[in-house]
Amino acid sequence: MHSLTARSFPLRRPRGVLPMARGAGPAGPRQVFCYHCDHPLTVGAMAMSTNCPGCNKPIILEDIVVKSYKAVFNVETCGKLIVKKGGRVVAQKRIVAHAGIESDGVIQCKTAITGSHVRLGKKSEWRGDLRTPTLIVEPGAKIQTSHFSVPDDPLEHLKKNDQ
Amino acid sequence: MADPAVNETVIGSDTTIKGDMTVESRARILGKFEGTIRAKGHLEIADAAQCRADVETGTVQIDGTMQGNITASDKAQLNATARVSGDLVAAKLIVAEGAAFTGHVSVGPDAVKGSGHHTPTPPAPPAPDASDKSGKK
Repeated sequence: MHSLTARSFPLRRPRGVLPMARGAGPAGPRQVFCYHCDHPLTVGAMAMSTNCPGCNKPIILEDIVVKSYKAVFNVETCGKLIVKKGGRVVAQKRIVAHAGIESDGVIQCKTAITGSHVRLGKKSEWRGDLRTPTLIVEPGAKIQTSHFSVPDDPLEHLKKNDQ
Repeated sequence: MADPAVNETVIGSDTTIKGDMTVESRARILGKFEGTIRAKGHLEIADAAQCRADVETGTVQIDGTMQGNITASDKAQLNATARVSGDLVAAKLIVAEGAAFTGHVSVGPDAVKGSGHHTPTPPAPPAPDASDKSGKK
């Protein structure tokens, strides 16, 4: 078992985990927050990973796409977590996806924290606590007993401080 | 246009009710309600409605403010203006973007079966062999 953290992910991408296609992101620089220390940083639109100037730890900026079974400790990214149909993410600890989660597969975790919307598709399954500002559940999604807190934007205080 | 054959219970926007309510078909809450609601059909909590109640129903559509546990044997729909605090058990859940929710969630056909909260059914008639057992001894 390994972790989809910056330590392993950009250098040695696990099987079944694909990065977002280039050119799909927004144009121009964008601001993100380090998921280790909440330090704000401005990165290029196409940047896939960088080091946080606050804590000097590596952080992933790209979207993580899962198309198969993936068992990890943590899933952490400043981008999106996208679980395709047939994909299954089992995170022993937490999922942090600052740009949101889109799932048509199975997600299992202890806690998931996002700074943007979470969409659970009609064939998706969810197990784990969730804190998100926006939740979209399509009919047919299965949710095993979990604590949901919506809206609860974990990045809200960071955005306020930044303004 | 509403079907005249279907009875609908409407609690008006200037009404406050405290207590238990059992509805056979449809209910619509526009005002305030505190207590328990059991509806076999459809329950609608309108935009300006405030509800502090435990709800057991077939389907529920929430546009207003709701505080309490919800058990929907068929479908629960939280629209964009919904503000819900409490535990939710439903066979199907639809949450629109903008809805606020805090509580434990269980969704799926198995969740309703396992919850132990069902729409109340009429009591079964007593078993005919109840007296026979005592007679045998």
